[in-house]
Amino acid sequence: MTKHRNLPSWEAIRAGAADWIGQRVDLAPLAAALQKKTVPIHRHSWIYLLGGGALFLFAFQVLTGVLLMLYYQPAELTAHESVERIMTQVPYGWLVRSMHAWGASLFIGLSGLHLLTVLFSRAYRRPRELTWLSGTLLLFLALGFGFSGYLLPWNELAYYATLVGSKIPTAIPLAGEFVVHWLRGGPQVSGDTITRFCAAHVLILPLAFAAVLLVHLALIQAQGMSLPLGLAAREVRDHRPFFSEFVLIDCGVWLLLLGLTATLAVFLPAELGVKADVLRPPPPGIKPEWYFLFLFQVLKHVPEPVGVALFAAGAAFLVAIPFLDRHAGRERASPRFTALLAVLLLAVLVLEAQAWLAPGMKRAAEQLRAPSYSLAGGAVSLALLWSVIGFLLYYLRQLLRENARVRKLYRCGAHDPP
Amino acid sequence: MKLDESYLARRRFLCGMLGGGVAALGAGLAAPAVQYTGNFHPEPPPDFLELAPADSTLAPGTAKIVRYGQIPVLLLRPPGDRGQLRVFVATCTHLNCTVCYQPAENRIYCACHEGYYDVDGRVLAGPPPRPLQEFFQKVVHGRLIIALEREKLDKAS
Repeated sequence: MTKHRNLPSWEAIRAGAADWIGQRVDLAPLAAALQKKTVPIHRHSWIYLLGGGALFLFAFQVLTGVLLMLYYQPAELTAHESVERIMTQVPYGWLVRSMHAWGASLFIGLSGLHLLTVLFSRAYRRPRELTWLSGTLLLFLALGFGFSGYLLPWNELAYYATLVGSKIPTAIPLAGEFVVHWLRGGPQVSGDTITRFCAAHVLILPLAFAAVLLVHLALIQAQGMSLPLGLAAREVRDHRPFFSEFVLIDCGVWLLLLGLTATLAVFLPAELGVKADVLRPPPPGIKPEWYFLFLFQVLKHVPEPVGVALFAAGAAFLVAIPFLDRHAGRERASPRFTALLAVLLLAVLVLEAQAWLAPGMKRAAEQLRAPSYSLAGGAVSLALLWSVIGFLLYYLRQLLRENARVRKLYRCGAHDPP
Repeated sequence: MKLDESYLARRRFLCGMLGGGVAALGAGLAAPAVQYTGNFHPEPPPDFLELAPADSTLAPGTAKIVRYGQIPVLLLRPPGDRGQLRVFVATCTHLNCTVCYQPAENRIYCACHEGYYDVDGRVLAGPPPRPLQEFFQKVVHGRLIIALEREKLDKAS
């Protein structure tokens, strides 16, 4: 094939850039460390994609959150009005906010699924206890994101949910009242609560989450993927290099998640609601968001101090799992522990279903009115988006097959393809 | 092992397709993102404004600045018995600083680059290229109504 002599090829440009950087800082050890990690491919390899999906959704939340912060005003007088402006006047504001709301649910849902697969495959067993600890911390931070973000639109639902939720720590002995006052920024849920919840949601929690996430990812990079307990070595079909191959599959999953969030946002946009009125008493039927429902339901069955003690015990149990499941540490299955986990999971699901089915707060049906919003336009844009996603997925798959083919070709040789 | 030349061609094609797809995705996301972030159509100014009685009965030789949406308005009653209230957009036509009235010299002054206007809004000295934009006025039921466009003024009744 003929090329213009004076135009360098992409490969030459890339090699030139790598050379330029390599002369100034030695990246060889880093490159070697990154290339070391391989991913075992077997019947259950799909579970390795869940954590990456949660990571993508977190980045997506940061992006949509930054966009929302361009217009959101965290003060009692203007919070709801600024969200109304975003939903009705700012071009595509309704889309950004709805994607942020759906992204939050998907993020927590996928994190929960990731937790479950790690639990049932015993990935927390030695030597990955630290990964488990950092992971549970990330989960608690994610729930903190959900709780703090939920108040910010300052509508009735948000206000009452925060009122009830922030009252729960009063059951803590001795320090309860202080904790609630500290959380709310005062004795009541007020404008001061909005401001500090916004600071937590936008600065404190993201910084903490990023720090713990770095530890979590560094550990995974160093230790590689764990094989599900009980999976025999012969069941592993292949070992894919993480960088340049498994990352491509990750990207495919991320494209699907992007499409899913956009689709949900267009057909089920976020609700604006009625501005919170601090003088009005809570109506019957208030419920928190779905990921807190099982906790909420526990408090309906037992007195509050008992409920809070149960929450604390549950959280402590979750954190301590790698140290409680002693069989897993010795690579032995423990059917009793599996049964215990299954029973706990079932209990959580039953409580969730109970709370979900109970009638919620009465709310007027809402119709989204914005110059940039039209269901037909949204549907057409979604069709285009899914076409581009399909196109990208097809060529990702082709590139993956090409990489696998070349890798097998070079398996005998000691060097990687250039 | 010698590289098959078709390896490079295949790889380039695949990476090219992926790059093109990502560029399409990026362009498709960038257009609404720019519209969202730019705030290119902020709240338009009100069609007209009814001045408070205190504002429309300024003493001669005094001025006041009030709001018309986000636009500063200079209310100016020139000295002398029969000076009619002048209403200008208080934004200098040079680089948009807010102007003020100098009662001692009976002129309008912009401090940013030493621009001077007379009480009719015409440029006296300095860099301003155009006279101050004046509001249309109408008295309705004893109240003074001002508007930036004559058609909008007729809407007020």
